[in-house]
Amino acid sequence: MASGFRVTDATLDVLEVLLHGGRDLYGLKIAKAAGRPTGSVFPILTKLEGCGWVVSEWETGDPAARGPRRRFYELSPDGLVQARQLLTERRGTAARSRHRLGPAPRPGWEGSR
Amino acid sequence: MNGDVLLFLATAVVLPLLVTEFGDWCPWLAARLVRWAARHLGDPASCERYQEEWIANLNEVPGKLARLAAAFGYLANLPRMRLSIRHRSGTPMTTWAGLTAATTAPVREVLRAAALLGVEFAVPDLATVLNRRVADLLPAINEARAIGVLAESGNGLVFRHPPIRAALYDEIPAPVRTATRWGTILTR
Repeated sequence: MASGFRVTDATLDVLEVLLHGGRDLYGLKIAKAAGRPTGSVFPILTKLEGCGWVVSEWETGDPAARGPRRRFYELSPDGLVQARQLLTERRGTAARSRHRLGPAPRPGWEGSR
Repeated sequence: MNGDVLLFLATAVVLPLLVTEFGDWCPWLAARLVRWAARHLGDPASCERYQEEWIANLNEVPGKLARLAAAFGYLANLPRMRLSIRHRSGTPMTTWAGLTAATTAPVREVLRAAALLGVEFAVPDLATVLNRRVADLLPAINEARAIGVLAESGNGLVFRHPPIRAALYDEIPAPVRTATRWGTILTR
């Protein structure tokens, strides 16, 4: 499968978290769930964003109240299909197994964008 | 006697003080390191974005030393981060699906207005069409540049993939296109 970038174990870990990690996933949360250092997940997220697999947006709310904003990441509809396919190819299953992940995504969230 | 007193002072007073002092400095140092790393990412839009994002993440790391270690993590990954950003901004956005997935509604609103002005346009003209200040448009413009929709061209900006501009233009109802065009010309 042509992903357009080098797929490492860390990339698969991040994709797995994005696929099963639930809502409001930001860098630190993704890193913790993937069991990777925080600094190392951002190059992966940036790469995935550049390929259109991942979309991100700033958290909303009063910035004065909480200081710097977090940025939430999720798979785009295209990325969702590609990630499932890639994980099935490389790990045999796209099902959650290796990581401590949050609650499952809301029903119907996949088509919300 | 002097040696014992000095040893006592060093271990019971000076060392704990130094440790406490270092602990107090850790969060400050960590934030400085992260800001420094973000400022060296290359393009201005990414510097601004990751500086805020990384500091927000850093603030949630529990423990002073852990925060410093996390900051060194950002620093260590700076070369990889720069490569990823170069890859992202070097790839022109060529599909409508890609554009809609990668941009927020406010950014697309700015891009639609830009599409009215042509493949190449000047930022002050865009501000006129939207009836907003140039400074207010910068976040949207920077985001569009960062994901490869717009690029600099002379003193203005250009759509990197003209069919994307055409698709944005087609989204605007014909009467709005005409009215906005006339409004722009009359206010020049």
